Amino acid sequence: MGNTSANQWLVEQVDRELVDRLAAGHVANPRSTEMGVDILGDPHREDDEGLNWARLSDARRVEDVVPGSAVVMGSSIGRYLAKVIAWDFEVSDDDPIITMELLPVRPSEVAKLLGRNRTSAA
Amino acid sequence: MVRSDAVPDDLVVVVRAAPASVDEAVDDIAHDALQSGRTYAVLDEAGRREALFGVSTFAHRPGVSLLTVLARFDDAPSYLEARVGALRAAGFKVLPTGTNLDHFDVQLLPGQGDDDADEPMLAVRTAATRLVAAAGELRLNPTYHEESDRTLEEE
Repeated sequence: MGNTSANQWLVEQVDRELVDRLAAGHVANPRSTEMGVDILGDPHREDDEGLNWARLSDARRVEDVVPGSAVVMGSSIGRYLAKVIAWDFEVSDDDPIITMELLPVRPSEVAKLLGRNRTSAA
Repeated sequence: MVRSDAVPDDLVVVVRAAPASVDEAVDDIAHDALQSGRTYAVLDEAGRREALFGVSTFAHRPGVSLLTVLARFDDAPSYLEARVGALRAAGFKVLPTGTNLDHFDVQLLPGQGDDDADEPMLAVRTAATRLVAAAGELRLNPTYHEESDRTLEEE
């Protein structure tokens, strides 16, 4: 694990051992599974740094929400693209806070963009 | 982090970009406040820790377009807005939280210790209902667009 922040509980890099430990006890969030998103969240939320947050228990799969990952966050008012910034273990060893930066682009816009720029098969 | 800036009664806040119905808005607020209460605590006036059953809201300041405040929430068909004074009159604390000077948490359920074993689900839902009532009717979100990621998914 790596920590480059003043917050001793904040982890910006995770190793395989930690991911495996948390994945072993993780139950896929039923609503995130039902919605087909990586993690559930509230796009209104802001933490002390102005970042969005959710909990690991809101995620479908631990492996998909590690720091550095791009994720689709689902909510009652739409889907959001986000980048996972860090895990914060201050309140729980097993269910860390997932801090995310919401990206100013819609998932449907990305889908259209990728479709428009798909490399044609030679 | 609770900032030290004053929160005047006449400040207008967008309480929530909301789903289409009041019931959904209440569900949404209650769910998010409970998650907040599991995660964050604040100090009350006497310096005691209490769980923050917070609902994130954003200032809608004079001269700032509503379109700017709601820009992030264009998948939400409606929104709720209220003056801070109206929220206080309904019994809610409005806390200036985080580094964003336009961000505030409405504390739905003050006085609950952050180590209380029993989660006050019913009390939070009742408070969420009161919050929605205090904010008045759902208003149409001017940034809402029909062809959202939700509708695309459903097609």
